[in-house]
Amino acid sequence: MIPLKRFVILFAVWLILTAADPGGLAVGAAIATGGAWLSLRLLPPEGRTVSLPGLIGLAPRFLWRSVLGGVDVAWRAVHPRMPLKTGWLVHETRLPAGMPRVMLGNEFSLLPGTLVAGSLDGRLFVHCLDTEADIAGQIREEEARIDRVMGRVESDGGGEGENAGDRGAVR
Amino acid sequence: MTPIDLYTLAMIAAGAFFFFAGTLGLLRFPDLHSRLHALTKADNLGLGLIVLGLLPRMGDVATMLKMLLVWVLVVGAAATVAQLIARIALPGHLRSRPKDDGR
Repeated sequence: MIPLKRFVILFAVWLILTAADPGGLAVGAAIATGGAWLSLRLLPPEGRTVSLPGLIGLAPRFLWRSVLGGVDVAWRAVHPRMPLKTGWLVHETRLPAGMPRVMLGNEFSLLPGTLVAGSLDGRLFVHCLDTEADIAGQIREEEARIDRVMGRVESDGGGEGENAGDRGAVR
Repeated sequence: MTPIDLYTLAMIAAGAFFFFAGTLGLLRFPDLHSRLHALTKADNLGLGLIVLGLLPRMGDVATMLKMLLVWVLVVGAAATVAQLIARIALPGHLRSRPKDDGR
């Protein structure tokens, strides 16, 4: 069984790459089918329904803040005194493991001053360029946004990741 | 020079500046993790500006979409790879810290 959504995404990429050349449609369909099948093995579905309009709704804000991220780090790099106050923040994330956490990690690796270095038992390791900014607060806000978009896993009892502690400590 | 030429020039110059700043960060920043910040974020913005600057000069929609796709793939790869490198280089005291210690 080939997952339709993944097939459509891969086939759309093929159409863009080949400028929808009619001679390549059959090959593209075969390759997109193979790719969708392979993606099932590498990244099995987690049973959540991602809200596509929700994702698109997050995009403008994300784009704008990633622009700020680039400007922020460029400013620090070209500044003669190089204003950095680096440190680690360990954040107890409320998001379940899997795609939601991956999204949070990707997002915070492009936003101003934060870089995620994986998680362990629900603790997210965040490297900060400026430990004086309120990064824990920003992460909490973003978690809530991602949570709304990503949907719930049907079978999830809500045990792991429901730690509402949200505490973060700069180390 | 047409307004579109000016637009393209300005965007490419801005894009090149962010690549320059990212490289400067790579050279100047004190440790691996700070350097990763510089590379992922500044290059992402630099490439985005260059792509946006070139878009109106592309004759057809397919090429425009292809350039945007390149940018999306580069951003996705940069964000992912930066996290993988950051995770491998995670300081040992963070990894081994017992869960309830130190709060």
